[in-house]
Amino acid sequence: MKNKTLTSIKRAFRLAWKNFYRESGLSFVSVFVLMVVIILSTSLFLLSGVADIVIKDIEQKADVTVDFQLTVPEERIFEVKDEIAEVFEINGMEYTSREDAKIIFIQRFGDRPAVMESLEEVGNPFPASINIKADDPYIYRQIVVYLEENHSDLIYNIDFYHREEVISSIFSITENIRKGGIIVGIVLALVAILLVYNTIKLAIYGLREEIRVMNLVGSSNLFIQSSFIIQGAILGVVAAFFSFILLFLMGFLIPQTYNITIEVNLQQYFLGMLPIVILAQFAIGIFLGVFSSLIATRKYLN
Amino acid sequence: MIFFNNVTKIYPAYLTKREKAVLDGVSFKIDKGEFVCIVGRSGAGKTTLFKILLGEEKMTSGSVFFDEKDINKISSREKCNLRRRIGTIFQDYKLLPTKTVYENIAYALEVTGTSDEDIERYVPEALDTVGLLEQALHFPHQLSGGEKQRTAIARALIHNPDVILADEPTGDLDPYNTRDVLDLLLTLNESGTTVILATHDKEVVNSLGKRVITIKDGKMVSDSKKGRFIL
Repeated sequence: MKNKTLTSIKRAFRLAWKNFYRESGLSFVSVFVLMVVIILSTSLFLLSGVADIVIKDIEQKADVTVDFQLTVPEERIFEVKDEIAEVFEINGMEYTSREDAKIIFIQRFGDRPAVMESLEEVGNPFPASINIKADDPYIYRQIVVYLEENHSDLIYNIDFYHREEVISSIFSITENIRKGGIIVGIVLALVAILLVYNTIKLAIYGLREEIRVMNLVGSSNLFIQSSFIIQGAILGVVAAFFSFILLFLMGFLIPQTYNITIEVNLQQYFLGMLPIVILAQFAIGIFLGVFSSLIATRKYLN
Repeated sequence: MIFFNNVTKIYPAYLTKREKAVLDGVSFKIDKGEFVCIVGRSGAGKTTLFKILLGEEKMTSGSVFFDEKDINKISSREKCNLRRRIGTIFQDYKLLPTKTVYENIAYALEVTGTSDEDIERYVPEALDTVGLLEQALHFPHQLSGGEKQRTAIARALIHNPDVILADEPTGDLDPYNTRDVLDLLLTLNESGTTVILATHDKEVVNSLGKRVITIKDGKMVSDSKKGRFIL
């Protein structure tokens, strides 16, 4: 019994492999369609990853700076800083003392003697400040309102109002990109599944008479179906292999010349994602091949 | 061995909205080792009879027994076993186009779980019987009509079936190949295999001098032991 099962499995593999290379025209079309789908889905996956990094990078550039009155002692500023950290969910806060602000100014304008002379006359006009970063743009407004209500006497300036629109726009754009990406991904995935299913369905439709003959010589439905399922898996593996080669070459050709921002190196990102990409491509290929064959053959079995 | 008991098969006709009885109350019995010709015009219901016997089509009413087993009530597994006891030959051969002559014949054994050693022994024997040893590695499109039909016969007889169903096996063949095919069927019958031959060829039926069941418009109109073509 065990031997018979093993023989059947071996024969189903042999049958699938022979069908694959003898029906080379059909196999070529099916592999091509599968490749389109695999490359499309992995590109989307990689692009969404890159987009996520870029979006986070852009979002991190949005911030609010609170300048304190020159007379406010450092300890008091630290108290306010701790208070903000306690009350609000923020990403990070950076304190710049009056001295540090002056050093930064000198570093930037040190090569302009007139500016430096004026600074010497004035002394240190720079206020101490804290720079706040948050994930949610609405938190910035809440922090500003809180500071104005509770510590208006300490605050010299908050650079929120003239940046509010920009910050909101950044968050709104990135949010839309995320939502749009998900919708486009779902639609493309559905189109891809339908495309592969119909291609394999048409291929198997052409074989319906063969399936009938297989049934008539006493072949069990399981044996017939398993050979087509294995054939589907072979199509998936071959398509995944060529998709990977293609994507691998593209990965080496494109990113060497283009870096989206200083923080995002496409080549590094691509190489880092390589194991997941290989797994995903083979998983998508095999799943689509097997699933389509399974559904398409069921109709013609008797 | 085979018993058709008042079998009726009605197909719905979607366009005319009138149902059509392809078989209408057909009853007959075939014993083991018989050679029976089922005669009738195209569309008389001969192929439907075969499809019902093979479990490809469900009958509308009546029952069919194969060795006391009601075909309507057998499981999917039993249906496979039944088909392995019946060798089928078609007018259009129905060979698997992507397989060689050898593989087409071997396939009928592969599905039964026959060992590779036995397949390697039996297939050349079957090829020798039908005179196709030299064409063993040819694909169906490289064969003549007669060679295709002989391949189909070899496939039908490879697993020593109890019954051979031959549905218009000489329909597409010239007189020489027709004679070869009939001789092969007669030889098989002489060795104890039951042969049921569906045909509308008067010459074939009259030359055989075997039992003839005549079907007309789905109804059995005659059943004679040493019959002749009467339509």
